[in-house]
Amino acid sequence: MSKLFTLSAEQIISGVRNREFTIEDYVIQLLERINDIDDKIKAFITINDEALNTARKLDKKIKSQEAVGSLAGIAVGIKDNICTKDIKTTCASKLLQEYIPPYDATVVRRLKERDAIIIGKVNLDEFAMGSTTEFGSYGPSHNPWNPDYVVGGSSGGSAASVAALECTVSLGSDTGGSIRCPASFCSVVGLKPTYGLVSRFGLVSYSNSLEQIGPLGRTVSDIVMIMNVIAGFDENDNTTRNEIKTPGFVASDVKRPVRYGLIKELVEASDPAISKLVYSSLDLLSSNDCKWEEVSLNSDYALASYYTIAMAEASSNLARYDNLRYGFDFDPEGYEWNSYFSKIRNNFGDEVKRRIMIGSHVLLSGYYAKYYLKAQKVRSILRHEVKKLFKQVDVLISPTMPVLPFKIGENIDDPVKRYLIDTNTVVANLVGTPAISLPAGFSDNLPIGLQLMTDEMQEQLLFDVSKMYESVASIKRRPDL
Amino acid sequence: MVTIEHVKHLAWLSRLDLTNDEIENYHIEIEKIIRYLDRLDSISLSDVEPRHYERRVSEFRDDIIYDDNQTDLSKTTKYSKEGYVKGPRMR
Repeated sequence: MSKLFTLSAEQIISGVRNREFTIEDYVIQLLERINDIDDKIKAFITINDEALNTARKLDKKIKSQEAVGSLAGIAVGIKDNICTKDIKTTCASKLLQEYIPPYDATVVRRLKERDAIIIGKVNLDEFAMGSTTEFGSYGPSHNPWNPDYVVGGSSGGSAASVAALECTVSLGSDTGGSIRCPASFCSVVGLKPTYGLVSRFGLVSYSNSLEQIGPLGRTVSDIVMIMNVIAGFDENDNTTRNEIKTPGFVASDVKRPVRYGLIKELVEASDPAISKLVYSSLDLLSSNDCKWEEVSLNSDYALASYYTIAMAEASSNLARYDNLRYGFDFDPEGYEWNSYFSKIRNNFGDEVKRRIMIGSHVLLSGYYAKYYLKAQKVRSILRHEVKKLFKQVDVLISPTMPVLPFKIGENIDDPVKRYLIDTNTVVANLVGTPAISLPAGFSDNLPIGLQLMTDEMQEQLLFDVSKMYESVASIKRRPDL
Repeated sequence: MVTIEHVKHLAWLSRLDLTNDEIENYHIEIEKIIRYLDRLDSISLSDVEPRHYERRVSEFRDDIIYDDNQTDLSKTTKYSKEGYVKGPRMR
Protein backbone atom coordinates (compact mmCIF):
# COMPACT_ATOMS: atom_id res chain seq x y z
CA MET A 1 0.00 0.00 0.00
CA SER A 2 3.00 2.24 0.06
CA LYS A 3 3.75 4.83 -2.62
CA LEU A 4 0.32 4.79 -4.24
CA PHE A 5 1.24 8.18 -5.67
CA THR A 6 3.61 6.49 -8.15
CA LEU A 7 0.73 4.67 -9.87
CA SER A 8 -0.76 5.67 -13.22
CA ALA A 9 -4.44 6.55 -13.64
CA GLU A 10 -5.21 3.08 -15.01
CA GLN A 11 -3.50 1.41 -12.04
CA ILE A 12 -5.37 3.61 -9.54
CA ILE A 13 -8.74 2.84 -11.08
CA SER A 14 -8.12 -0.89 -11.17
CA GLY A 15 -6.61 -0.89 -7.63
CA VAL A 16 -9.72 0.85 -6.29
CA ARG A 17 -12.06 -1.45 -8.21
CA ASN A 18 -10.25 -4.55 -6.93
CA ARG A 19 -10.37 -3.19 -3.35
CA GLU A 20 -6.54 -3.25 -3.08
CA PHE A 21 -6.73 0.19 -1.44
CA THR A 22 -9.35 2.87 -0.81
CA ILE A 23 -9.59 6.26 -2.51
CA GLU A 24 -9.12 7.81 0.92
CA ASP A 25 -5.77 5.94 1.27
CA TYR A 26 -4.66 7.37 -2.07
CA VAL A 27 -5.81 10.95 -1.42
CA ILE A 28 -4.19 10.96 2.04
CA GLN A 29 -0.88 9.88 0.49
CA LEU A 30 -1.15 12.59 -2.18
CA LEU A 31 -1.91 15.29 0.38
CA GLU A 32 1.05 14.11 2.49
CA ARG A 33 3.29 14.15 -0.58
CA ILE A 34 2.17 17.68 -1.47
CA ASN A 35 2.85 18.69 2.13
CA ASP A 36 6.34 17.14 1.98
CA ILE A 37 7.61 18.47 -1.33
CA ASP A 38 5.49 21.31 -2.66
CA ASP A 39 7.46 24.00 -0.84
CA LYS A 40 10.34 23.04 -3.15
CA ILE A 41 8.22 22.77 -6.34
CA LYS A 42 5.47 25.33 -5.67
CA ALA A 43 3.12 23.67 -8.18
CA PHE A 44 -0.05 24.35 -6.14
CA ILE A 45 -1.86 27.61 -5.46
CA THR A 46 -4.88 26.10 -3.65
CA ILE A 47 -5.51 22.66 -2.18
CA ASN A 48 -9.15 21.55 -2.29
CA ASP A 49 -10.12 21.05 1.36
CA GLU A 50 -13.12 18.96 0.27
CA ALA A 51 -10.95 16.38 -1.54
CA LEU A 52 -10.73 13.98 1.41
CA ASN A 53 -14.48 14.18 2.12
CA THR A 54 -15.25 13.44 -1.51
CA ALA A 55 -12.88 10.45 -1.37
CA ARG A 56 -14.62 9.12 1.75
CA LYS A 57 -18.09 9.50 0.20
CA LEU A 58 -16.95 7.56 -2.88
CA ASP A 59 -15.42 4.79 -0.72
CA LYS A 60 -18.75 4.47 1.14
CA LYS A 61 -20.58 4.03 -2.16
CA ILE A 62 -18.07 1.41 -3.32
CA LYS A 63 -18.37 -0.46 -0.01
CA SER A 64 -22.15 -0.60 -0.33
CA GLN A 65 -21.82 -1.85 -3.91
CA GLU A 66 -23.26 1.31 -5.44
CA ALA A 67 -22.08 2.36 -8.88
CA VAL A 68 -19.35 4.96 -9.12
CA GLY A 69 -18.04 6.87 -12.14
CA SER A 70 -15.33 5.59 -14.48
CA LEU A 71 -12.72 7.98 -13.02
CA ALA A 72 -13.37 7.13 -9.34
CA GLY A 73 -10.00 7.33 -7.61
CA ILE A 74 -8.30 9.78 -9.98
CA ALA A 75 -6.98 13.00 -8.46
CA VAL A 76 -6.75 15.89 -10.90
CA GLY A 77 -4.80 19.13 -10.62
CA ILE A 78 -6.63 21.95 -12.42
CA LYS A 79 -4.76 24.91 -13.90
CA ASP A 80 -5.89 28.01 -12.01
CA ASN A 81 -7.37 29.67 -15.10
CA ILE A 82 -10.11 27.03 -15.32
CA CYS A 83 -13.20 27.77 -13.21
CA THR A 84 -13.98 25.45 -10.31
CA LYS A 85 -17.19 26.10 -8.39
CA ASP A 86 -16.58 27.30 -4.82
CA ILE A 87 -12.81 26.91 -5.19
CA LYS A 88 -10.76 30.10 -5.62
CA THR A 89 -9.70 30.64 -9.26
CA THR A 90 -7.05 33.34 -9.43
CA CYS A 91 -5.28 33.00 -12.83
CA ALA A 92 -2.20 33.80 -10.68
CA SER A 93 -3.32 37.44 -10.81
CA LYS A 94 -3.76 40.02 -8.04
CA LEU A 95 -6.87 41.10 -9.90
CA LEU A 96 -8.61 37.77 -9.26
CA GLN A 97 -6.99 37.00 -5.90
CA GLU A 98 -10.39 36.64 -4.20
CA TYR A 99 -12.45 35.30 -7.08
CA ILE A 100 -14.55 32.23 -6.28
CA PRO A 101 -16.43 31.09 -9.40
CA PRO A 102 -20.12 30.28 -8.97
CA TYR A 103 -19.88 27.55 -11.61
CA ASP A 104 -17.67 24.73 -12.89
CA ALA A 105 -16.03 24.82 -16.30
CA THR A 106 -17.52 22.16 -18.59
CA VAL A 107 -14.31 20.07 -18.39
CA VAL A 108 -14.43 20.18 -14.56
CA ARG A 109 -18.13 19.26 -14.51
CA ARG A 110 -17.47 16.32 -16.83
CA LEU A 111 -14.60 15.07 -14.64
CA LYS A 112 -16.72 15.37 -11.50
CA GLU A 113 -19.65 13.55 -13.16
CA ARG A 114 -17.28 10.58 -13.55
CA ASP A 115 -16.22 10.92 -9.89
CA ALA A 116 -12.71 12.28 -10.45
CA ILE A 117 -11.48 14.26 -7.44
CA ILE A 118 -10.19 17.81 -7.85
CA ILE A 119 -7.11 17.78 -5.62
CA GLY A 120 -6.27 21.46 -6.10
CA LYS A 121 -5.52 24.41 -8.40
CA VAL A 122 -2.10 24.63 -9.92
CA ASN A 123 0.26 27.46 -10.78
CA LEU A 124 0.59 29.27 -14.09
CA ASP A 125 1.93 32.43 -15.67
CA GLU A 126 -0.58 35.20 -14.98
CA PHE A 127 -3.60 34.81 -17.27
CA ALA A 128 -1.62 32.10 -19.10
CA MET A 129 0.71 34.71 -20.59
CA GLY A 130 4.18 33.27 -20.52
CA SER A 131 6.32 30.22 -21.26
CA THR A 132 8.13 29.75 -17.96
CA THR A 133 5.62 30.06 -15.05
CA GLU A 134 7.78 32.89 -13.67
CA PHE A 135 5.19 35.62 -14.21
CA GLY A 136 2.44 34.71 -11.78
CA SER A 137 1.66 36.63 -8.61
CA TYR A 138 2.40 33.52 -6.50
CA GLY A 139 5.98 33.31 -7.74
CA PRO A 140 7.65 30.74 -9.98
CA SER A 141 7.21 26.99 -9.92
CA HIS A 142 10.43 24.96 -9.77
CA ASN A 143 11.41 22.09 -12.03
CA PRO A 144 11.14 18.72 -10.19
CA TRP A 145 14.28 17.56 -12.10
CA ASN A 146 16.33 20.51 -10.82
CA PRO A 147 14.62 23.15 -8.66
CA ASP A 148 16.90 25.96 -9.93
CA TYR A 149 15.39 25.54 -13.38
CA VAL A 150 12.10 26.68 -14.91
CA VAL A 151 9.18 24.30 -15.36
CA GLY A 152 8.14 25.87 -18.66
CA GLY A 153 4.73 27.48 -19.07
CA SER A 154 2.22 28.70 -18.88
CA SER A 155 0.80 25.39 -17.50
CA GLY A 156 3.91 24.95 -15.34
CA GLY A 157 2.07 23.84 -12.20
CA SER A 158 0.09 21.29 -14.24
CA ALA A 159 3.27 19.66 -15.57
CA ALA A 160 5.32 19.91 -12.37
CA SER A 161 2.58 18.42 -10.17
CA VAL A 162 2.26 15.39 -12.47
CA ALA A 163 6.05 14.91 -12.76
CA ALA A 164 6.47 15.25 -8.99
CA LEU A 165 3.72 12.67 -8.35
CA GLU A 166 1.48 15.17 -6.53
CA CYS A 167 -1.61 14.21 -8.57
CA THR A 168 -2.59 11.50 -11.05
CA VAL A 169 -3.19 13.78 -14.02
CA SER A 170 -3.78 17.47 -14.56
CA LEU A 171 -5.50 19.87 -16.92
CA GLY A 172 -3.72 22.76 -18.56
CA SER A 173 -4.45 25.21 -21.37
CA ASP A 174 -2.40 25.69 -24.53
CA THR A 175 -2.47 28.95 -26.51
CA GLY A 176 0.99 28.88 -28.12
CA GLY A 177 2.54 25.81 -26.50
CA SER A 178 1.48 26.28 -22.88
CA ILE A 179 0.80 22.57 -22.29
CA ARG A 180 3.52 21.13 -24.52
CA CYS A 181 6.36 23.39 -23.32
CA PRO A 182 6.05 22.49 -19.61
CA ALA A 183 5.34 18.84 -20.54
CA SER A 184 8.66 18.83 -22.42
CA PHE A 185 10.57 20.63 -19.65
CA CYS A 186 9.17 18.30 -16.95
CA SER A 187 9.26 15.01 -18.92
CA VAL A 188 5.53 14.25 -18.92
CA VAL A 189 2.99 13.74 -21.70
CA GLY A 190 0.98 16.84 -22.66
CA LEU A 191 -1.66 17.16 -25.38
CA LYS A 192 -3.08 20.19 -27.16
CA PRO A 193 -6.25 18.84 -28.84
CA THR A 194 -7.70 19.94 -32.19
CA TYR A 195 -9.22 23.40 -31.82
CA GLY A 196 -12.87 22.88 -30.98
CA LEU A 197 -12.56 19.34 -29.63
CA VAL A 198 -12.61 20.38 -25.96
CA SER A 199 -14.98 23.00 -24.58
CA ARG A 200 -13.51 26.31 -23.43
CA PHE A 201 -16.59 27.15 -21.34
CA GLY A 202 -15.13 28.11 -17.97
CA LEU A 203 -11.61 28.68 -19.28
CA VAL A 204 -10.65 32.26 -18.48
CA SER A 205 -10.07 33.71 -21.94
CA TYR A 206 -6.65 34.87 -23.04
CA SER A 207 -6.72 34.28 -26.79
CA ASN A 208 -9.94 32.59 -27.79
CA SER A 209 -9.10 31.62 -31.39
CA LEU A 210 -5.87 29.88 -30.33
CA GLU A 211 -6.39 28.24 -26.95
CA GLN A 212 -7.53 24.77 -25.96
CA ILE A 213 -7.74 22.94 -22.66
CA GLY A 214 -5.81 19.66 -22.64
CA PRO A 215 -4.60 16.89 -20.31
CA LEU A 216 -1.14 16.22 -18.88
CA GLY A 217 -0.18 12.82 -17.47
CA ARG A 218 2.63 10.34 -16.99
CA THR A 219 1.46 7.97 -19.74
CA VAL A 220 -0.32 8.21 -23.09
CA SER A 221 -3.09 5.89 -21.79
CA ASP A 222 -3.83 8.35 -18.98
CA ILE A 223 -4.15 11.18 -21.51
CA VAL A 224 -6.56 9.11 -23.62
CA MET A 225 -8.63 8.28 -20.53
CA ILE A 226 -9.06 11.96 -19.67
CA MET A 227 -9.78 12.97 -23.28
CA ASN A 228 -12.63 10.45 -23.40
CA VAL A 229 -14.24 12.38 -20.56
CA ILE A 230 -13.51 16.01 -21.39
CA ALA A 231 -13.72 16.05 -25.20
CA GLY A 232 -16.89 16.42 -27.24
CA PHE A 233 -19.46 18.96 -28.33
CA ASP A 234 -20.67 21.45 -25.69
CA GLU A 235 -23.69 23.65 -26.32
CA ASN A 236 -22.14 26.25 -23.99
CA ASP A 237 -19.20 26.73 -26.39
CA ASN A 238 -20.20 27.26 -29.99
CA THR A 239 -16.63 26.82 -31.19
CA THR A 240 -16.79 23.13 -30.24
CA ARG A 241 -17.13 20.78 -33.14
CA ASN A 242 -20.24 18.67 -33.39
CA GLU A 243 -18.56 15.74 -35.17
CA ILE A 244 -17.82 14.17 -31.80
CA LYS A 245 -20.50 14.16 -29.13
CA THR A 246 -19.15 11.22 -27.13
CA PRO A 247 -15.50 10.44 -27.79
CA GLY A 248 -14.36 6.82 -27.97
CA PHE A 249 -10.59 7.07 -28.23
CA VAL A 250 -8.53 3.98 -27.46
CA ALA A 251 -4.95 3.58 -26.29
CA SER A 252 -4.07 0.37 -28.02
CA ASP A 253 -0.80 -1.14 -29.15
CA VAL A 254 -1.96 -1.42 -32.74
CA LYS A 255 0.92 -1.02 -35.16
CA ARG A 256 0.22 0.98 -38.26
CA PRO A 257 2.40 1.85 -41.21
CA VAL A 258 2.93 5.55 -40.63
CA ARG A 259 4.80 8.16 -42.67
CA TYR A 260 6.62 10.70 -40.51
CA GLY A 261 7.79 14.11 -41.67
CA LEU A 262 10.65 15.69 -39.74
CA ILE A 263 10.35 19.49 -39.93
CA LYS A 264 13.95 20.22 -40.80
CA GLU A 265 13.93 23.97 -40.03
CA LEU A 266 12.88 23.28 -36.43
CA VAL A 267 15.52 20.60 -35.86
CA GLU A 268 18.30 22.72 -37.39
CA ALA A 269 17.47 25.63 -35.08
CA SER A 270 17.59 23.48 -31.92
CA ASP A 271 20.22 22.94 -29.30
CA PRO A 272 22.59 20.18 -30.59
CA ALA A 273 21.74 17.84 -27.68
CA ILE A 274 18.08 18.12 -28.68
CA SER A 275 18.58 17.49 -32.41
CA LYS A 276 20.79 14.50 -31.58
CA LEU A 277 18.00 13.01 -29.50
CA VAL A 278 15.40 13.69 -32.20
CA TYR A 279 17.46 11.75 -34.75
CA SER A 280 17.93 8.82 -32.39
CA SER A 281 14.16 8.85 -31.79
CA LEU A 282 13.68 8.55 -35.54
CA ASP A 283 16.06 5.56 -35.55
CA LEU A 284 13.87 3.92 -32.91
CA LEU A 285 10.78 4.56 -35.00
CA SER A 286 12.44 3.30 -38.21
CA SER A 287 13.30 0.04 -36.52
CA ASN A 288 9.54 -0.36 -36.00
CA ASP A 289 8.59 -0.30 -39.64
CA CYS A 290 7.99 3.43 -39.87
CA LYS A 291 9.27 5.53 -42.71
CA TRP A 292 10.41 9.09 -42.22
CA GLU A 293 11.53 11.88 -44.50
CA GLU A 294 12.59 15.49 -44.08
CA VAL A 295 9.95 18.07 -44.86
CA SER A 296 10.11 21.82 -45.03
CA LEU A 297 7.75 24.22 -43.29
CA ASN A 298 8.54 27.89 -43.60
CA SER A 299 7.39 29.23 -40.28
CA ASP A 300 9.45 32.45 -40.39
CA TYR A 301 6.41 34.59 -39.83
CA ALA A 302 4.46 32.17 -37.63
CA LEU A 303 5.78 33.54 -34.35
CA ALA A 304 5.09 37.17 -35.30
CA SER A 305 1.63 36.15 -36.49
CA TYR A 306 0.97 34.25 -33.27
CA TYR A 307 2.00 37.07 -30.95
CA THR A 308 0.09 39.68 -32.95
CA ILE A 309 -3.14 37.68 -32.83
CA ALA A 310 -2.68 36.52 -29.22
CA MET A 311 -1.95 39.99 -27.90
CA ALA A 312 -4.80 41.55 -29.90
CA GLU A 313 -7.27 39.02 -28.53
CA ALA A 314 -5.83 39.41 -25.03
CA SER A 315 -6.38 43.17 -25.05
CA SER A 316 -10.01 42.53 -25.93
CA ASN A 317 -10.56 39.57 -23.59
CA LEU A 318 -9.03 41.32 -20.60
CA ALA A 319 -11.10 44.46 -21.11
CA ARG A 320 -13.77 42.84 -18.94
CA TYR A 321 -11.65 43.18 -15.77
CA ASP A 322 -13.37 46.19 -14.27
CA ASN A 323 -13.52 44.75 -10.74
CA LEU A 324 -17.32 44.97 -10.65
CA ARG A 325 -18.50 41.42 -11.35
CA TYR A 326 -15.29 39.60 -10.35
CA GLY A 327 -12.12 40.90 -8.78
CA PHE A 328 -11.00 41.96 -5.35
CA ASP A 329 -12.41 44.10 -2.56
CA PHE A 330 -12.17 47.75 -3.64
CA ASP A 331 -15.18 50.01 -3.08
CA PRO A 332 -16.04 52.07 -6.22
CA GLU A 333 -17.56 54.79 -3.98
CA GLY A 334 -16.21 58.26 -4.91
CA TYR A 335 -14.50 57.15 -8.12
CA GLU A 336 -15.20 58.15 -11.68
CA TRP A 337 -15.50 55.35 -14.26
CA ASN A 338 -12.19 55.65 -16.14
CA SER A 339 -10.06 56.41 -13.10
CA TYR A 340 -11.52 53.47 -11.15
CA PHE A 341 -10.86 51.04 -13.99
CA SER A 342 -7.35 52.32 -14.67
CA LYS A 343 -6.48 52.15 -11.00
CA ILE A 344 -7.67 48.58 -10.37
CA ARG A 345 -6.31 47.35 -13.69
CA ASN A 346 -2.85 48.42 -12.60
CA ASN A 347 -2.93 45.27 -10.50
CA PHE A 348 -2.15 43.25 -13.60
CA GLY A 349 1.48 42.07 -13.69
CA ASP A 350 4.09 43.61 -16.04
CA GLU A 351 3.87 40.91 -18.73
CA VAL A 352 0.07 41.13 -18.87
CA LYS A 353 0.15 44.93 -19.08
CA ARG A 354 2.72 44.83 -21.90
CA ARG A 355 0.64 42.35 -23.88
CA ILE A 356 -2.58 44.32 -23.45
CA MET A 357 -0.84 47.49 -24.65
CA ILE A 358 0.74 45.82 -27.67
CA GLY A 359 -2.64 44.27 -28.43
CA SER A 360 -4.14 47.76 -28.40
CA HIS A 361 -1.36 48.93 -30.71
CA VAL A 362 -1.87 46.25 -33.38
CA LEU A 363 -5.60 46.95 -33.46
CA LEU A 364 -5.32 50.73 -33.82
CA SER A 365 -7.07 51.93 -36.94
CA GLY A 366 -3.81 53.11 -38.51
CA TYR A 367 -1.97 49.85 -37.78
CA TYR A 368 -4.63 47.17 -38.08
CA ALA A 369 -3.84 46.32 -41.71
CA LYS A 370 -0.08 46.32 -41.08
CA TYR A 371 -0.22 43.91 -38.15
CA TYR A 372 -3.48 42.17 -37.31
CA LEU A 373 -4.78 41.67 -40.84
CA LYS A 374 -1.34 40.53 -42.07
CA ALA A 375 -1.07 38.13 -39.13
CA GLN A 376 -4.42 36.52 -40.03
CA LYS A 377 -3.29 36.19 -43.64
CA VAL A 378 -0.04 34.52 -42.55
CA ARG A 379 -2.25 32.16 -40.58
CA SER A 380 -4.16 31.24 -43.77
CA ILE A 381 -0.93 30.57 -45.64
CA LEU A 382 0.43 28.44 -42.82
CA ARG A 383 -2.77 26.40 -42.73
CA HIS A 384 -2.51 25.82 -46.44
CA GLU A 385 1.16 24.73 -46.12
CA VAL A 386 0.44 22.36 -43.24
CA LYS A 387 -2.52 20.80 -45.08
CA LYS A 388 -0.24 20.23 -48.07
CA LEU A 389 2.30 18.47 -45.83
CA PHE A 390 -0.41 16.18 -44.45
CA LYS A 391 -1.04 14.90 -47.99
CA GLN A 392 2.61 13.86 -48.08
CA VAL A 393 3.03 12.47 -44.52
CA ASP A 394 0.75 11.31 -41.71
CA VAL A 395 2.59 12.77 -38.71
CA LEU A 396 4.86 15.80 -38.38
CA ILE A 397 7.76 15.48 -35.94
CA SER A 398 9.94 18.10 -34.32
CA PRO A 399 11.51 18.81 -30.95
CA THR A 400 8.86 20.36 -28.68
CA MET A 401 11.28 23.05 -27.55
CA PRO A 402 14.37 24.41 -29.35
CA VAL A 403 16.19 24.80 -26.02
CA LEU A 404 16.77 22.86 -22.83
CA PRO A 405 15.15 24.12 -19.61
CA PHE A 406 17.09 27.13 -18.31
CA LYS A 407 17.63 28.66 -14.88
CA ILE A 408 14.84 30.64 -13.21
CA GLY A 409 15.42 34.35 -13.86
CA GLU A 410 17.85 33.74 -16.75
CA ASN A 411 15.63 35.11 -19.55
CA ILE A 412 13.39 37.35 -17.55
CA ASP A 413 14.68 40.63 -18.98
CA ASP A 414 14.56 39.87 -22.68
CA PRO A 415 10.96 39.49 -23.91
CA VAL A 416 11.79 38.69 -27.56
CA LYS A 417 14.30 35.98 -26.52
CA ARG A 418 11.60 34.45 -24.33
CA TYR A 419 9.02 34.58 -27.12
CA LEU A 420 11.40 32.82 -29.54
CA ILE A 421 11.28 29.60 -27.52
CA ASP A 422 7.66 29.18 -28.67
CA THR A 423 8.71 28.85 -32.32
CA ASN A 424 8.11 25.07 -32.52
CA THR A 425 4.76 25.03 -30.75
CA VAL A 426 2.78 27.99 -32.17
CA VAL A 427 2.10 26.37 -35.56
CA ALA A 428 -0.39 23.88 -34.10
CA ASN A 429 -2.33 26.70 -32.40
CA LEU A 430 -2.41 28.93 -35.47
CA VAL A 431 -3.62 26.10 -37.69
CA GLY A 432 -5.83 24.33 -35.11
CA THR A 433 -4.21 20.89 -35.44
CA PRO A 434 -3.60 18.58 -32.46
CA ALA A 435 -0.07 18.19 -31.10
CA ILE A 436 1.44 16.18 -28.27
CA SER A 437 4.73 16.35 -26.39
CA LEU A 438 6.24 13.02 -25.32
CA PRO A 439 9.21 12.43 -22.99
CA ALA A 440 12.16 11.65 -25.27
CA GLY A 441 15.17 11.65 -22.99
CA PHE A 442 17.54 13.90 -21.08
CA SER A 443 20.65 15.98 -21.49
CA ASP A 444 22.55 16.58 -18.20
CA ASN A 445 19.45 15.51 -16.31
CA LEU A 446 17.34 18.13 -18.10
CA PRO A 447 14.30 16.75 -19.97
CA ILE A 448 13.77 16.85 -23.72
CA GLY A 449 10.38 16.39 -25.36
CA LEU A 450 9.44 15.16 -28.82
CA GLN A 451 6.47 16.85 -30.50
CA LEU A 452 4.14 14.90 -32.79
CA MET A 453 1.43 16.63 -34.79
CA THR A 454 -1.37 15.20 -36.93
CA ASP A 455 -4.05 16.78 -39.06
CA GLU A 456 -7.14 18.17 -37.35
CA MET A 457 -9.53 15.65 -35.74
CA GLN A 458 -6.89 12.90 -36.18
CA GLU A 459 -6.42 12.39 -32.44
CA GLN A 460 -6.77 8.59 -32.68
CA LEU A 461 -3.81 8.43 -35.09
CA LEU A 462 -1.87 10.72 -32.77
CA PHE A 463 -2.62 8.45 -29.79
CA ASP A 464 -1.63 5.33 -31.75
CA VAL A 465 1.77 6.71 -32.79
CA SER A 466 2.34 8.25 -29.34
CA LYS A 467 1.69 4.92 -27.63
CA MET A 468 4.07 3.23 -30.04
CA TYR A 469 6.80 5.83 -29.47
CA GLU A 470 6.29 5.63 -25.72
CA SER A 471 6.86 1.87 -25.73
CA VAL A 472 10.03 2.02 -27.87
CA ALA A 473 11.52 5.06 -26.10
CA SER A 474 10.67 3.56 -22.72
CA ILE A 475 11.50 6.60 -20.56
CA LYS A 476 10.88 5.35 -17.03
CA ARG A 477 12.86 7.84 -14.92
CA ARG A 478 11.26 9.76 -12.08
CA PRO A 479 12.65 12.93 -10.51
CA ASP A 480 14.60 12.46 -7.31
CA LEU A 481 12.11 13.85 -4.78
CA MET B 1 9.80 54.32 -33.75
CA VAL B 2 7.58 53.98 -30.72
CA THR B 3 7.57 57.18 -28.67
CA ILE B 4 6.87 57.66 -24.98
CA GLU B 5 3.78 59.64 -25.99
CA HIS B 6 2.53 56.69 -27.97
CA VAL B 7 3.06 54.37 -24.99
CA LYS B 8 1.06 56.79 -22.83
CA HIS B 9 -1.70 56.68 -25.45
CA LEU B 10 -1.67 52.85 -25.45
CA ALA B 11 -1.88 52.89 -21.65
CA TRP B 12 -4.94 55.16 -21.85
CA LEU B 13 -6.62 52.97 -24.48
CA SER B 14 -5.94 49.92 -22.30
CA ARG B 15 -7.18 51.77 -19.18
CA LEU B 16 -3.93 51.23 -17.28
CA ASP B 17 -2.85 53.85 -14.76
CA LEU B 18 0.92 53.47 -15.20
CA THR B 19 3.54 55.30 -13.17
CA ASN B 20 6.24 57.27 -15.01
CA ASP B 21 8.78 54.57 -14.17
CA GLU B 22 6.53 51.91 -15.63
CA ILE B 23 6.05 53.95 -18.80
CA GLU B 24 9.84 54.34 -19.19
CA ASN B 25 10.51 50.62 -18.62
CA TYR B 26 7.67 49.35 -20.75
CA HIS B 27 8.59 51.74 -23.56
CA ILE B 28 11.93 49.99 -24.16
CA GLU B 29 10.42 46.51 -24.12
CA ILE B 30 7.32 47.41 -26.13
CA GLU B 31 9.48 48.99 -28.82
CA LYS B 32 11.62 45.80 -29.05
CA ILE B 33 8.53 43.63 -29.38
CA ILE B 34 6.82 45.87 -31.96
CA ARG B 35 10.02 45.94 -33.98
CA TYR B 36 9.94 42.13 -34.01
CA LEU B 37 6.30 42.16 -35.16
CA ASP B 38 7.22 44.63 -37.92
CA ARG B 39 8.59 41.74 -39.97
CA LEU B 40 4.99 41.04 -40.99
CA ASP B 41 5.26 44.17 -43.08
CA SER B 42 8.00 42.71 -45.24
CA ILE B 43 5.73 40.26 -47.02
CA SER B 44 3.16 41.08 -49.63
CA LEU B 45 -0.12 39.34 -48.90
CA SER B 46 -2.59 41.26 -51.03
CA ASP B 47 -3.85 38.06 -52.73
CA VAL B 48 -4.41 36.14 -49.51
CA GLU B 49 -7.76 35.85 -47.77
CA PRO B 50 -7.50 36.06 -43.96
CA ARG B 51 -9.47 32.90 -43.47
CA HIS B 52 -7.85 30.18 -41.38
CA TYR B 53 -10.89 28.26 -40.19
CA GLU B 54 -14.15 27.60 -41.94
CA ARG B 55 -17.16 25.75 -40.72
CA ARG B 56 -20.51 25.61 -42.49
CA VAL B 57 -23.24 26.17 -39.98
CA SER B 58 -26.87 26.06 -40.98
CA GLU B 59 -28.59 25.12 -37.82
CA PHE B 60 -30.87 26.89 -35.40
CA ARG B 61 -31.39 26.02 -31.81
CA ASP B 62 -34.91 25.66 -30.48
CA ASP B 63 -36.32 28.86 -29.04
CA ILE B 64 -37.02 27.50 -25.58
CA ILE B 65 -36.69 29.13 -22.20
CA TYR B 66 -34.70 27.35 -19.54
CA ASP B 67 -33.99 28.45 -16.04
CA ASP B 68 -30.37 28.47 -14.91
CA ASN B 69 -31.15 28.50 -11.22
CA GLN B 70 -27.90 26.67 -10.46
CA THR B 71 -25.67 29.73 -10.66
CA ASP B 72 -25.72 32.06 -7.68
CA LEU B 73 -24.12 35.35 -8.67
CA SER B 74 -24.90 37.23 -5.46
CA LYS B 75 -21.61 36.27 -3.79
CA THR B 76 -19.25 37.47 -6.50
CA THR B 77 -19.15 41.02 -5.18
CA LYS B 78 -19.98 42.52 -1.80
CA TYR B 79 -20.86 45.87 -3.39
CA SER B 80 -24.33 45.00 -4.53
CA LYS B 81 -27.86 45.95 -3.48
CA GLU B 82 -31.23 44.47 -4.40
CA GLY B 83 -29.78 42.51 -7.31
CA TYR B 84 -27.78 45.45 -8.71
CA VAL B 85 -23.99 45.70 -8.74
CA LYS B 86 -22.49 48.99 -7.53
CA GLY B 87 -20.19 50.76 -9.95
CA PRO B 88 -18.23 54.02 -10.17
CA ARG B 89 -20.03 57.15 -11.36
CA MET B 90 -20.00 57.96 -15.06
CA ARG B 91 -18.42 61.42 -14.74
